[in-house]
Order: sequence, then structure tokens, then C-alpha cells
Amino acid sequence: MLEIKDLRASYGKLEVLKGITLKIQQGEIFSIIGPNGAGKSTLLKAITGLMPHIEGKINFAGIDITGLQPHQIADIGIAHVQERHRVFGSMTVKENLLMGAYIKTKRRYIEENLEYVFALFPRLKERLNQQAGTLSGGEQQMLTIGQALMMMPRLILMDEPSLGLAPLLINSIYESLRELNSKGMTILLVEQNVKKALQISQRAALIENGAIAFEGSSEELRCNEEITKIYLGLC
Amino acid sequence: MLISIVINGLLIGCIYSLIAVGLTVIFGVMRIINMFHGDAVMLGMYAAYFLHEKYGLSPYVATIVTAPIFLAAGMAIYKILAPIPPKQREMSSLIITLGISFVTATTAMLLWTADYRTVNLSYSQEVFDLLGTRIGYPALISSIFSLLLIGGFYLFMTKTFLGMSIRATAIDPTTASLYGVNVKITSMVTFGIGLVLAGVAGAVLSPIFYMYPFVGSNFVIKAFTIVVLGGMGSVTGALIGGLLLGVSEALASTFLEYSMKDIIAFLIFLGVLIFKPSGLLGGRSRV
Ligand SMILES: Nc1ncnc2c1ncn2[C@@H]1O[C@H](COP(=O)(O)OP(=O)(O)OP(=O)(O)O)[C@@H](O)[C@H]1O
Ligand SMILES: [Mg+2]
Repeated sequence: MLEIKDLRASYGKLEVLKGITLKIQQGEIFSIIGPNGAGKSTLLKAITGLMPHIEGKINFAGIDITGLQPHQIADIGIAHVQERHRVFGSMTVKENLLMGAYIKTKRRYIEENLEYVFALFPRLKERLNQQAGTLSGGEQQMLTIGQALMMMPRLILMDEPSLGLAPLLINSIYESLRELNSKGMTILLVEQNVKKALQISQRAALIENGAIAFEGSSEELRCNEEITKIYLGLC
Repeated sequence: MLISIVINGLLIGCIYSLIAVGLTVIFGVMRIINMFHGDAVMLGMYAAYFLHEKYGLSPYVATIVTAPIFLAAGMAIYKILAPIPPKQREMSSLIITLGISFVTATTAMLLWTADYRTVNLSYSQEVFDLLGTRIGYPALISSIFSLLLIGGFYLFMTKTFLGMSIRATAIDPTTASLYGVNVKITSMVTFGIGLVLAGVAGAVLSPIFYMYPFVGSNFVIKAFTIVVLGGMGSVTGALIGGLLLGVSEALASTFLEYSMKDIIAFLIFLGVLIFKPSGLLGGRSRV
């Protein structure tokens, strides 16, 4: 569904992605792990048009999306849940969710989609008229995922959904991701929480220094010697 | 006596607010400091004047005719400013729009001379009695018209997708774009809408204020004061700020000296910047 070929991206002179090639299959959760600064977030940004200069090819569902603007990528059906739950702080929870349904063709499904999001995250329903900036970190994370669902995307890119959350909340967010996936949603998941990521995903890649160091089934990665050396005892 | 000063201050304050709403929205979304805003008010006044002279159009009706022109002009000016990188935008946009402002006012001077003009309506001399205060009908209509427009604009910003996307873009353009908002077009439309509001404010002012080619500088200072008072990017802040300024001016010109009237805006401006730079009414980008 998503095919990335020899993708390169840089911030000014600093090359951060040094030729990434990846294939994400429809219906899977694919996780990307790797140390801080490896280029994981940059990879997601390059896919959704947030990196000004990229080289290589990105293909989504048969369409060449290399170099498209972020709003065009949104139209095509890719949602990007950014790092650190970036909600619109001075807008209400309801308005944030409606912004998720900004794309014209998705507006007529607003009611159904809201119900779907509330079923997944009942807490959002209780806080509809609260300013999003006053939500807790976990609630903001739920909100950003809810916003992505309002887009009715075919693929969700998710950047560190567990960041800064208490273990209980992490479990509940991951439970929601699992449920989404079981209903057919394709998810490209970036995580520092290697254990969680490799548990939930079917396949995974390790990125180091802007290049793929290892790729395979999540099972393989869990038991890979090098990886267990860095992230002790996962196997 | 005091009550009538306050009432008069509130009436003019409504119109100041309308000018400021346009300015604050433009700044909120694009970080563009629009020095041309006062000249758009001036052009709105002259447009209303000539439409009234030539075709007998009421200034309030004239706004329908001029709105599309201001929308187009705003979008054109945005096109000039758009290539400036975001980091330099505040300073560069200030200088460029100041340049456009000078050219506009000077051209207006050549075309229309420095004569003072105002729109004389058939009911210009009629007064209305409100709590013992005599108010001219044009002033009353203009204020109510402004209030209705501000209310309508508030609803637009909170209840429509376009309005919400303008606010979202003001808060975080990157994230807005990921939901499908075309940030460039949204910014361009916002600039257009901001100028429409300025132009309408000019029309509404035309029966109660004298117009001359450099009258814009007077309004732009007031509008900036209001924006600073009410917080950048806030519609309700602009409304409250405008009312406060209107009343402050009315009080100052009565109890101090009449000439204090135009200095008061400057004093408030400096005072807020020194003591509470985030605005008296708090944060940025509240509606
Ligand atoms: N806006 C930016 N300008 C310049 N350099 C940047 C920018 N954003 C990231 N970088 C650099 O690019 C490299 C990769 O950053 P990226 O955010 O992709 O890492 P990451 O793998 O997501 O790390 P983390 O796990 O800490 O989120 C880092 O060295 C970082 O310093
Ligand atoms: Mg990251």
C-alpha cells in the first residue's frame, strides 16, 4: 500500500534520511524503532510532505505522492499523528475533532465518525466543550488519534503515541490501536517503546543514523541478538 | 453627563472594534503587520462617499458593492507578502505594507485633494434619545451595524469549517495542513476578509467622521492599540479592546484636553506593551 524507494531528506546541509526503502502492506501494523535522532519522525514528515526537499520515490495505493503538499496527502487518505500530541490548544475538543473532518468529502460522515471515536475514547465525549490545551497528556493523545480517525484515512502514521504517558494509559492507547487494526486500518507506528511496538506489530524495521539497519517480522526483531543487546531481554 | 460620555465612547468603540477585528485576524494567521489597514478604512470611506454622491447609495448598502473589491485587493497584497520566509515576516511585512500605505494615501491626495468630506444623509441631523443622551441616527446605525458584523464574524469563526480552519492555521499551520487545510489559500482568504472588514468599517464611518487622504494613519494606530489590548488574534478581545478605547478617548477628551483624544491610544499602547505585553485580556488566538 505504501512503497518508499531510496528516500533521502535533509535539514539544510544535514542529511537525516540516507536512502530508506520500505514497503508497508495493507492491513498491517508496521513499526519503526531506533534510537533518538535516528530519523524516525523525519521519515513520517517526508511521507506527509512536511520536509521541503526530498529525493527518492513515495508511492501510495498506486499513486506517486512524492513532493505533494501536506494537504494533498491528507486528501489522498494518509493521516499523520505527530509526536507530542499537537492539538489546537485554544480550540475545544469538539472543534479539534471537527478539524479532523475538514476534508469536504468526509464531512457528511461526521456524526457516525464522532460516535466511533467516542466508543473508542469515551473520555473525549465528557470533555467535548473543554479547551484542548487543558486536557491531560493522555487525553490529548486520544484526541489526536480521534482527529486522525475523523479523516477516515486509509493509512495512519503514528509518531510515538506512548511518549510521556503512564503505563496504564499506554496499554489503553495500544488496545485502541489493536482494535483499529483488527478492523482493517493500516498503521505505520514509530516508537521508542520497543517492547510495546514489537508486541503489536506484524513487521518492523530498525532505523539507525538515517538508514535501515534491520528489517523483518516483529518476532525476528524481538529475538535479534543486536537488538536484544541494545534493548535488553525482549525475547 | 458621565453616562453620555460613556455612551458616545461605546458607540464609536464598536466601529474601532470592527477595524481591529480585521487587523487581529490578519496578524493571528500570518504574522503580518498590516500598516495598510488604516488606508483600507480610508478607501472604504471614499468609496462610500462617491457611491453616495453619484448613485445615492446608502453607505451601509455600499458595503455590498465594495466588499468583493476589498477581498480581491487583500488577496493581491497577500500575494506580494507570501514569498517572505516566516521568520522575517513580521518586520518585512511591516515595511512593505507601510510602503503600500504611503503610495495609497499620496495617490488619494492627488486624486481627491486634501479636502475634508463626509457623507450627508437625509437623516444626518436627526437624533435619538438614549438615557438622556442625544445620539445622531447615523452614529447609532453605524454602531449597531458594526456590532452585528462582529457578531456575525464571530459565528463565522466558530461555526464554519472555513472559520475554524483560519483559527487552526493561526495556532499551528503545520498541523492544520495535515488535516487537509491548504494553508496558503486560507492565509490569502484571511487577508482578503481582513481588508473587507476594514473597508466596511470605512463605509460605516463615512457619515460620522470626516475623511481626508491621510485619515488612515489615525485609525491604524487605534487598531493596533486595540489588538494589543485584546490579545493578538482574538475577536472578542478586539471587541472589548475597541469599547475600552472608545470610552477612554471620550473620557480623556472631556476631562483632560480635547487634543488628548488622539494621544490616548498611544499612551494605552505603550502602557500595555510595557506592563502586560500579552494583552490585557490574555492569550493569543482565543476567538
Ligand atoms: N527542524 C529541524 N531542523 C534541523 N534539524 C532537525 C530538525 N528536526 C530534526 N532534526 C535533526 O534530524 C535528526 C533526526 O531527527 P528526528 O526527529 O527524525 O529523530 P527521531 O528518530 O524522531 O528521534 P526521537 O526518537 O528523539 O523523536 C536529528 O539529528 C535532529 O537533530
Ligand atoms: Mg521523533
